[in-house]
Amino acid sequence: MKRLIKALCTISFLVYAMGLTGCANQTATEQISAQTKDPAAIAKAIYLDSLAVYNDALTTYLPYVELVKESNPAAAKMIYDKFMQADAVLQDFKRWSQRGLPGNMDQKNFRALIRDLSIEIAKQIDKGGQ
Amino acid sequence: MVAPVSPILDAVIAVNIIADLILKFKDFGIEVNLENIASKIAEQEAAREHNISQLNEKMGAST
Repeated sequence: MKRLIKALCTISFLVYAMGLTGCANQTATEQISAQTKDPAAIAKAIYLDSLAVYNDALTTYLPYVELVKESNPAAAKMIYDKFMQADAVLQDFKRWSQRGLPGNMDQKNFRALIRDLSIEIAKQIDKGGQ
Repeated sequence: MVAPVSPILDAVIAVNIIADLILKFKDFGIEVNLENIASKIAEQEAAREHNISQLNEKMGAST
């Protein structure tokens, strides 16, 4: 449980830090959509948001990989596979962004995938810390 | 009187809320516009490559 609290503190700090910086907490998609209706630009913004969310989740997990791997190798492998699954979706997003087709990029499902992955990671960190 | 809740359940709910906050409040520190979006993507792509490399290294032979 102590490790989960540590993870929560880390994540909370990230949220806090992100809230302190930047321009009114707008995503790239919101910012670019406010500037243009060009689908090619909006597609790039969606790809950028998705990349950033993916990197945040991965960066948060990296310090705990060994802990999860030691306590539950199967879970570590499952988390790894999910990151690779999300990475494959990102590569699809990259292709769609290059073709200027934002309608083909299911950002909502991608965010749900990363969100579920983050929750799974927190659960495994909690188990590993007990 | 409020029924006692499992600490694990509490923690999972907390993580759920924080994960939502991260996804809701994600921003880029500076303004993203039509001129700098390509460089922002390049920065994030470089970070992705570095992060995946680190993950593969930490997972070692088990991958």
